[in-house]
Amino acid sequence: MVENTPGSFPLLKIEDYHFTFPSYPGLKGRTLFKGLDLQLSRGEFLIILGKPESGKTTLGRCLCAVYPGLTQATVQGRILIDGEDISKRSACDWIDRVSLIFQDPDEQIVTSRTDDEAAFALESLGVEPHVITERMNQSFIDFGVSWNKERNPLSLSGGEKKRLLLSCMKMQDTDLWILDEPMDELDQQGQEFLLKTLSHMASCEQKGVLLFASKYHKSFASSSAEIAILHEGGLQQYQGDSESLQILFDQGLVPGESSSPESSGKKGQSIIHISGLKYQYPDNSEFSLEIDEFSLNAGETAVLAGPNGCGKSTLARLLCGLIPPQEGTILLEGEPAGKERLNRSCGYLFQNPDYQLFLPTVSDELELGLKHSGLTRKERLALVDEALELFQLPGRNAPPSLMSFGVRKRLQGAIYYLLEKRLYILDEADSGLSYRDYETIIRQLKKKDCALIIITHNQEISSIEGDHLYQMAGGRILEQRDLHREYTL
Amino acid sequence: MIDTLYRRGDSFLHYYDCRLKLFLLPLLLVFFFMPAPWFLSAGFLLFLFFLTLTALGFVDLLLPLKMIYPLLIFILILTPFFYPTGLPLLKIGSFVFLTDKGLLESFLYISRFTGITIIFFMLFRTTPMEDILLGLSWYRLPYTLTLVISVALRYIPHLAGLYGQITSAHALRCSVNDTPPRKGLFARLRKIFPILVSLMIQGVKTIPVLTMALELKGIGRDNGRTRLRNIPAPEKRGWQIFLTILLLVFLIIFLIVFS
Amino acid sequence: MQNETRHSKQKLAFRIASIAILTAITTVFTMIVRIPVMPTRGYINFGDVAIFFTALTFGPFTALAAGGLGTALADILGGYAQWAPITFFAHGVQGLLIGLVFKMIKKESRFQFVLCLLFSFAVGTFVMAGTYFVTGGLMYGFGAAVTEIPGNIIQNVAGVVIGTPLYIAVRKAYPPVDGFYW
Repeated sequence: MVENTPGSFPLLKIEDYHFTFPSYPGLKGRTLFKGLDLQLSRGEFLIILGKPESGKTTLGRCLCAVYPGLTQATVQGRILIDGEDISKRSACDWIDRVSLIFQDPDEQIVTSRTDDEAAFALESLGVEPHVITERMNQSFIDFGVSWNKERNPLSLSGGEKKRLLLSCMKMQDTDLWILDEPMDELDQQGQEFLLKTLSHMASCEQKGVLLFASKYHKSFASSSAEIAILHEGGLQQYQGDSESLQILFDQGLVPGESSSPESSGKKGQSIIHISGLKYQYPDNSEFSLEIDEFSLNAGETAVLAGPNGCGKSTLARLLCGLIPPQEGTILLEGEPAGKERLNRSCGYLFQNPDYQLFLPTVSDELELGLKHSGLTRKERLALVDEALELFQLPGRNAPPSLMSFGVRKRLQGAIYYLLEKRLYILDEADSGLSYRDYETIIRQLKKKDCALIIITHNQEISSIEGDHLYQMAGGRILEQRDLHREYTL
Repeated sequence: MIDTLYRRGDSFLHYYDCRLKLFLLPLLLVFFFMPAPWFLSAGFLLFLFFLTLTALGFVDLLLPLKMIYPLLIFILILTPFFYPTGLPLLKIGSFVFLTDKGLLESFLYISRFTGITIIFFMLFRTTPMEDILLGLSWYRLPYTLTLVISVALRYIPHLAGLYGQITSAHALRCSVNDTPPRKGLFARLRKIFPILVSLMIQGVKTIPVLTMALELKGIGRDNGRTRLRNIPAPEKRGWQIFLTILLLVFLIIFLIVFS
Repeated sequence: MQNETRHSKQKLAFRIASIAILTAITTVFTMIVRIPVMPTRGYINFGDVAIFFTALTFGPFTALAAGGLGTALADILGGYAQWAPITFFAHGVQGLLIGLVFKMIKKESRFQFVLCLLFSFAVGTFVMAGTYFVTGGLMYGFGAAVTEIPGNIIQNVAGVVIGTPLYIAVRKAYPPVDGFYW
């Protein structure tokens, strides 16, 4: 084997890369890359923008050799690290050269102690314990990991988890850094700090840095990074001209002029009204939810916004009757409602659509909810066909568990569309979902004469079609704004 | 929802080196199965009671007993039937209910089972799971096995939470106009089945992702691993070894003298 | 050759991952998923359901490790630590045997499948209930140990009656799981 001297080859070179997931009965395998080319040298910092499901995560995984792995995908083309084909070695033998941060930190954390998590990769590399300690202390300082080292990483907040993983990456000290959506869950300050650190790592320490993002952040412009767009299986450079920006708009990376939601004007009947509501979890005395008054009429959409742990989900669970309130009343269509009625009348679209899916085909899933409806088989099939079309689902026989996230999310929407409910609650429906998918789900559900609640922690509320905005924090509703008035201003 | 038995504390049992605990555990188990008169295991049981009471307190003594008392009652009722010979103590008509031999056997079994229970309880109450795993790997338990256990422990709360979420999600898959569901055991099984399928699919789907996470942490490399963290070395290890040996010597002497 | 070692390295990570996840699933099924039943003392837990599923879907060796570790961890976490070593053996070997029976016997028709299922159920139950009986007998006398047998058999019946449809349903809903067998 030829000994490669670093520098004579670019750090990373992708040549004419193709990647197609395997097909299953009823579902054609998705092709993610068609002739993708990329070159990245040491000292370069590249941000790759792409809409959700454009293949960013897959590309990141291909670059550390964990893909194709178990996926049984068809691959063509080559990925070269310092001139060496990445498929020559197994992923665990690349960890001294390439490191990756997953989009979802929970998927990457495998231990139950902060220091174990940080040391794991270095222990595998056989680094001496005192060197590990040294590097750990330094990178913990760099990324502000100041909590107890015995603490369980899973008990950390989203931003803290990201910081822990970033310091793991720093400790690993590889040549190529790949970060999959690291901006999520970090606050403004954290994001700016991260971009500054990455720029520094690239220019001063001669690392190659790749950052994937599905949203265009304003701070990208001020960093030293170049920007490329992953679109229809290939990469395009973004120079800031209007044509590239148009692609950005098309994909909903930058919230554009959203067609103003049709203001219904007339007020529908009251769907839900709560007053003097109090709830406290039995095992957590620090948090309590207290809502003095909240009401929503048919045809209205409320947006609940606020940081993690502010009580949005608790409120949603109370409204669905999943947990009983300790004080206060919930009126459903003007009448006090208990668990049973709330269960039946309120739909909760969990952020993860898989919680509800378990059947082999799409039509099985859609029909299940209609089983007790008293409709004839013909009527049920007609309804299923209608839902298939409205939500642009791939077909009756497609297996739900193998469909892409966006399609599963639309299926979840379709299931609830068929269930006659008075109130729909969408939990974090806008994250990880392309704007078009999101819009499809919201628009279709709005057709029913019902009320809609959208839960989000997205700052750019304007991209969400809502009527009222409720800002929450610490278990209270802090302020309420009418979103229509803002559009006209 | 799921919690290990371990509670933080500063009793001497907490500071006792976990390798010594792991060394003692099988020997003490063997001791309970040695052919010895009943008062020896009963005496040792009293010693264990005393130890738990002084080191951990009354609540921690009651806790394991509360979990096994139904079985202890069963032992007391059922064992004597197997020993009809001996001096009859309780007799109705010609049927012997209780003999002295049966009573002694019952005592032997009760002290044996209670003793074993308390030994295990003390180990897991005073030693965190990670230390036990570290101790086991000090005794050359293969790394892959300790890794499997610690990764499983990391995923248990996650999957338990997932079960709750999935249960809620399935509870809401009904409509305003639905006919009311049936009740009974069979209906309950039918209701739980979709939840199990969803949970299983979710669980199985994490396997490829976890595989990736482990690969990227370097599982499968040929070079040897190093270890950042070791079992904390207690200050009085010499004393602890001495105490351990003393305990074993006493037990052996008792065994020889009384049997 | 190179390809071969690359593959085996990934296989190691995969096996660790699958055993760890199934261990956690078994523990959760044992501790949390419970159905109250009138005739026996309290609950049937679903630990055996998970073992049956694992043995059928992932093969005998994963079932040995995950079934044994999962139920043993459930004992330790639930406060029955004294049972953990015995449980590990009883349920581990139970899983191994169910998996082996299923691997060895040809199942071409539905009838053979059911027969195979019954046979594996019988073998598994025999080993599991037998282990508990013998060790229980040594620990606290055979008189009290007999009382445990019916409960253990009901557990196993639940295991086969729910575990098999679970296996079929999961395979149908998530076909890639077929590639996880070894």
